Amino acid sequence: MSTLADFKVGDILEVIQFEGESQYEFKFISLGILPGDKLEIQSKSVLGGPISVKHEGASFFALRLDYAKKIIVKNLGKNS
Amino acid sequence: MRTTLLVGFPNSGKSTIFNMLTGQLRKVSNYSGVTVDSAKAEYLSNSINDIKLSVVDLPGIYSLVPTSLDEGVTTAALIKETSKFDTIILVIDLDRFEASLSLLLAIKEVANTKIIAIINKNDHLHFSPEHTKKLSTYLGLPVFTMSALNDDEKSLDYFIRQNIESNDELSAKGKAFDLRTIKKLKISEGSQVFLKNIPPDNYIIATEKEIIDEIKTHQAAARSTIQSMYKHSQAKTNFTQKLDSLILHKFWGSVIFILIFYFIFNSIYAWAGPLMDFSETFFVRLGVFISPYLPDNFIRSLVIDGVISGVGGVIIFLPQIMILFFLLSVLEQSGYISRAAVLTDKVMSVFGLNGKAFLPYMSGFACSIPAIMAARSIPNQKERAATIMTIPMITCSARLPVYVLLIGTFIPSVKIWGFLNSQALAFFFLYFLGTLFALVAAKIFRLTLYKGETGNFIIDLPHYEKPSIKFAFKQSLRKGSTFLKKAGTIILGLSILIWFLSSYPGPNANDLIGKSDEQISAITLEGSALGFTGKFIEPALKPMGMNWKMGVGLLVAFGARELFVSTLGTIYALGEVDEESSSLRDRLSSELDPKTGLPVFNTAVAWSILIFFVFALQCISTLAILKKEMGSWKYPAFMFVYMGGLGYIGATLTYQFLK
Repeated sequence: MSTLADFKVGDILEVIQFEGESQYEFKFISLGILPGDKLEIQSKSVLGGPISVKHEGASFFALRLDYAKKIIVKNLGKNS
Repeated sequence: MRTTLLVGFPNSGKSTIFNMLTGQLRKVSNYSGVTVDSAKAEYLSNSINDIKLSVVDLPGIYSLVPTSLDEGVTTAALIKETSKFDTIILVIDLDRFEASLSLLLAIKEVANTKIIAIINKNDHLHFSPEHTKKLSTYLGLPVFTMSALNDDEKSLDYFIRQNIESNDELSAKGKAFDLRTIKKLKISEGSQVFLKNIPPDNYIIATEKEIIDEIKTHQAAARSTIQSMYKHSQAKTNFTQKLDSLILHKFWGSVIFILIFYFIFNSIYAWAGPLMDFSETFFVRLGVFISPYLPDNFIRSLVIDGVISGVGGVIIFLPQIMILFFLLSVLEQSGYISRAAVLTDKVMSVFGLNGKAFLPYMSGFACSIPAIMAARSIPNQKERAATIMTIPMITCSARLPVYVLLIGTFIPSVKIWGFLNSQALAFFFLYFLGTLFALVAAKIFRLTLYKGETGNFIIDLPHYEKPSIKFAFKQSLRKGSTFLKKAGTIILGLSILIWFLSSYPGPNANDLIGKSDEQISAITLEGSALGFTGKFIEPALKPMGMNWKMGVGLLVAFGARELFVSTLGTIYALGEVDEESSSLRDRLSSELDPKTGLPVFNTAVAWSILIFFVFALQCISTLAILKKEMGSWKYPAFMFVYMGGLGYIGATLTYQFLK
């Protein structure tokens, strides 16, 4: 299974579920990141810094790589 | 007294609303016996209203299921202690609209008291009165929309009071305030430890799946509500996406970052220069102007040497502070600061901090006081403490006069590799040393005192917006007036105190016969309380290579660093001296030790003093603001000791190594 951390800038992904302890799932869901949501990777930084994503085509956030690894996603293709 | 309760996401602007309602800066206080980040105060408007109100601000929460003791306090207040609160004021953060609306829906189901919703951060007025009306109808709750940029104190206060009054009328007629059915909150078994202060019959234990499904239901309801009434502008989203592909770019992102902050530093020094010269001249002229109107005795000296030169010496830093905050406000409004947090997060995380610590550290180059206040935006208490406790090691502008004086006098200006200047390198080294040790100390604190996981791993990236110059001016004026208040109170008091200590007990009148004014002031200082103290601590200064005169300078600098320069001026009997005064420089480098016949000030001594200034916490105002922010004298006491210790050890090592 691949996670948000495995993809490249421009990839469009769908959230499947969250990995690890339930507290991560609590946090992600409380912040409004739900299974079925679409994410598009906007930027990745050198040395494993945070990656930034577009959420549901409308808003943007960045998260640390460790946490991106907790989000299991499905590839929906590439933004042209 | 009736109490209202502020609830919302961390950083949703609750503290701002608290300050607006009560007219005072939020101070940390205890809540039901637990030390959490909470605050309580009376409404400012109580003096002109019959209903007396107070407001309690509890730790911010993301969901009702607590994941820490702090969050547990808020959840407990919402499910058990609702009888204590007349009204819950729920703050919705428009930047995180969906998630915070979902929290409101959850609270509405379990909190058995009146609720009003405040939509905050409507800074660019995208949320119209129409939207407000629609949301209020949907929620069945009163809704108020505001922005801290517009100073809506009065209308916010009026809105809250009006709701309380109309609810009073309803209950007088025997009607309920709304028709909600209240359920018991479902929590997981693991969260129970965070609610140990309340009896278990206040909640139901449920499986994790059930709880997550419930949160999902609220999120989905919030999402569909928002989609039905409110559309993000597609053009704006595209613009943000395009700009971010450059600003957060692996390579160009860092280049732009460096350019922007180089520009800010440069403007602080370049723009503030003329203004600083102007205010300096102003204070000298002021002294000359009022001098003839004062009686020629200790009063004249107190006013001119104590008050005007003391307070004036500090006020000259006002332009720097105002320019910094003006530019930071522009950046913050535009949305760039969150991007800067993303770009610096990796480096910060190596030291156990968070990208959000970048802004406070950055402000620390101007002054620790606003920097410590800026650390409020760090949601995790331990990361915030580690940031605050190390900020004062960042080279603030008050150290500059000392650096200018000593480097200019004792470091010869030579070219290195043809293009680098040795004095500029010395400056850079001192700035670098302070920053490095601040980060290393933060790491040590995060591994020991403030151990724990990072709380914040998601940074919202708001859409880029055009900043309001008017608001940036307002912010800068506000910070400026806070700074002036400090200069008018703490520094004024200190200047008077230092004047007394360096003037009394006076010298023997016979010693002064036939001496010049400059010599008289030097003799006066030697016979004063400060002079005695300097001589008393001289043995402790020996390892650092300092004599009693420098000791007096250091002692005085504990009030405020910049006083070191003016104190040395007095000691070296030159009267009016500033850091550009070459005569002080000449005198410093030509003073000989009567015993050895060698210069008292040499490169080793100069570096020893410089290193001491890099580390030691010589600023009473920082200690005062720290007490205010952290709520206990424990923090300033600890900071004073560890930074002083580092300064002493660092200076001793430097001197012993270089001599």
